[in-house]
Amino acid sequence: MNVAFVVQRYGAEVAGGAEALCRDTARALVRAGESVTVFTTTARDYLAWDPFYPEGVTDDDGVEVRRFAVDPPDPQRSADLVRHLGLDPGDPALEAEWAMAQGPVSRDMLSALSEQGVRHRGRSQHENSYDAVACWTYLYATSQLAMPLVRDRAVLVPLAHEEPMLRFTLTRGVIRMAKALAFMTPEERQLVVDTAEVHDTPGVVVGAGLDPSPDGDADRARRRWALPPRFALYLGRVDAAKGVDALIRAHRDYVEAAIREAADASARGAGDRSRGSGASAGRADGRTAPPGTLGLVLAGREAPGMDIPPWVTTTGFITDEERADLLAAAEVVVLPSPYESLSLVALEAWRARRPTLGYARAQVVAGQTARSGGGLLYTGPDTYARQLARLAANPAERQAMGESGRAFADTWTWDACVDRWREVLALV
Amino acid sequence: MTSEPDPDELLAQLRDAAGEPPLPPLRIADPTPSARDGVAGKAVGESRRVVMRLITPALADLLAQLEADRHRMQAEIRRLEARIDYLEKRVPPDADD
Repeated sequence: MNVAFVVQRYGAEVAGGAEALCRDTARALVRAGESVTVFTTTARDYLAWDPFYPEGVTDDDGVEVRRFAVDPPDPQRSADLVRHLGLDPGDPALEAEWAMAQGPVSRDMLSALSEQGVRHRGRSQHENSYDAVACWTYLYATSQLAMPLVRDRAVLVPLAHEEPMLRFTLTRGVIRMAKALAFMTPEERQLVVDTAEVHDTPGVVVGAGLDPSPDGDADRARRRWALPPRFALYLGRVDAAKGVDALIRAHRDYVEAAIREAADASARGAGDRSRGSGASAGRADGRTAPPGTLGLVLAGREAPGMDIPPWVTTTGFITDEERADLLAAAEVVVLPSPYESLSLVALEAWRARRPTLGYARAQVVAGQTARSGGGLLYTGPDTYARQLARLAANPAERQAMGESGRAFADTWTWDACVDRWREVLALV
Repeated sequence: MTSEPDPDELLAQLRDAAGEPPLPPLRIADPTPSARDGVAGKAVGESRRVVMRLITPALADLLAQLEADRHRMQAEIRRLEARIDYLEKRVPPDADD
C-alpha cells in the first residue's frame, strides 16, 4: 500500500507526543513492507514554525520525507483568537483567521498534495497517487488545508481531547470530511464521534506500539540524583498545562496529612495532654515527613514560569536510559494531566511493572487504567492523598497492579498496531 | 495542470462540510461595559475585561468539559431512542391486548 502522512512537524529532533507517534507509526509501517511518504514542514518548533530542516526530500529509515517551507504565522493573534473563540465559538471568519494565524501554512505543500489529483471511479488520474492520505491531528493548518484536497481518500488521526478547538466549526468540517478516522483509544473515539456527530464514518482504534526500552537500574538513578528513599514519579513536560502545579499542591497535602497523622499517633502514645498538638506542625517538606511517606520526583523539561518548591526533586530533561532507571527506582507513577488522547507514560510505567495513580477527569487515563487494572484513580487532592497512601502502604497491591499493567502493556506491539492501520487504510 | 490551491477556498469548503452543530454551542459573552460615565466607568469596564482575561483559560477548560458532557449525553439519548424504536417495532401491535 502506498500511503502519505501529513503532519505539522517530523523528525528525531522534534519534541511532541503527536509528532513522535506519527514518526513511530510511519517507520513501523515501512518495516512491515508498506510505502510511506511524509508531507511535512521545515519546522521544529510549533509556535513560530522557524525553518530548522532543509526543504526537499530525505529518507528516514525507509520513510520518504518531503519538507516544505511555511508562511510566517502570527502566534499572538492566534492565542488571542483561541481565547475569544474558546468562550464564544462559531464565527467562521474568526476561526479561519485563527487557522491561518496559527499555521503552519505551506502553499508548496498544498500544491504538491493537489497534484496528486482526485481519484475517479476508484482510479487516480496520476499513477503516483497515494492509496490513502492520513492527516495527523485536527488542530493545525497542515491537516485543515490538506483535508479538502485529499478528501476522497483521507484518514484523519484526530488525537483529540476535551479542548475548546474541538468544538470549532472548522474542526467539525475536518472531521466530517474524512473518509475514515483513526483513534488512539475508545474514549477518544467516543469524544470525537459524539462531538462532531459522525456516527456513520468508519473508524478504527489503531493505538500505538511500544518500542523496546533499556533495562532500568534503580541504583544508577540514585547515584545520578539525590532521590527520596521512596517516591512517586512524574514523567513528561513539567508544565501547568499538564496538571503539574495541581499535582504539587495535591502531593503537599498528602505529605502534610502524613505528618499530621504521625504527630497524632505520637500524641496518642504520649497521653491525652499532648493530643493533637502536632497537627499544626505539619510542613510540606519531604525532610520532615515520617518514614515511608513518598516523595515527589518530576522528570522532564521544565516549562518557563513554573515555580517548583524545594521539597520536590527535579531532574530536567532525561534520556531513555535515565527514564528506565527512574522507573526502576520509583514506587508509583503519577498521571496528573487532565487532557490526553493516549497516555504512553502509563504504558511505559506498566511495562516497568509500576502501578499508576491517574487523574480521573482524563477520560482516556481512566479508561486505560480500568482496562489494564494497572493502577488507581484520583479526583482531587483528598483522593490523591488517600490513594497514594494506600499504594505506599501495600506492596502486594502495588506488585499485583504492576503485573496487571505489564500484561496489558505487552499487548501494545507495533505488529498489532500495523494490522489495525492496514484495516483503517483499507476503509478509504 | 493543477492550479495552486487557495487556502481561503479550502477553509470555505471545510465550513460547508461542517454543517450544523449537533447542539447549539454554549457561549460566555464579553463583559458588559459599565453604565457609569467618565473615568470611573472606564475603570470599571477595564477591570471587568482584565478579570475576564485572567479567568478565560480556566473558563474555557470548564466549558470544553461541559460541552463534552452535553454531547456525550445527547449521543446517549439518541442511542436509547434508537433502541426504543427498535424494540417497539419488534412488539406486535396487539401485544397489550
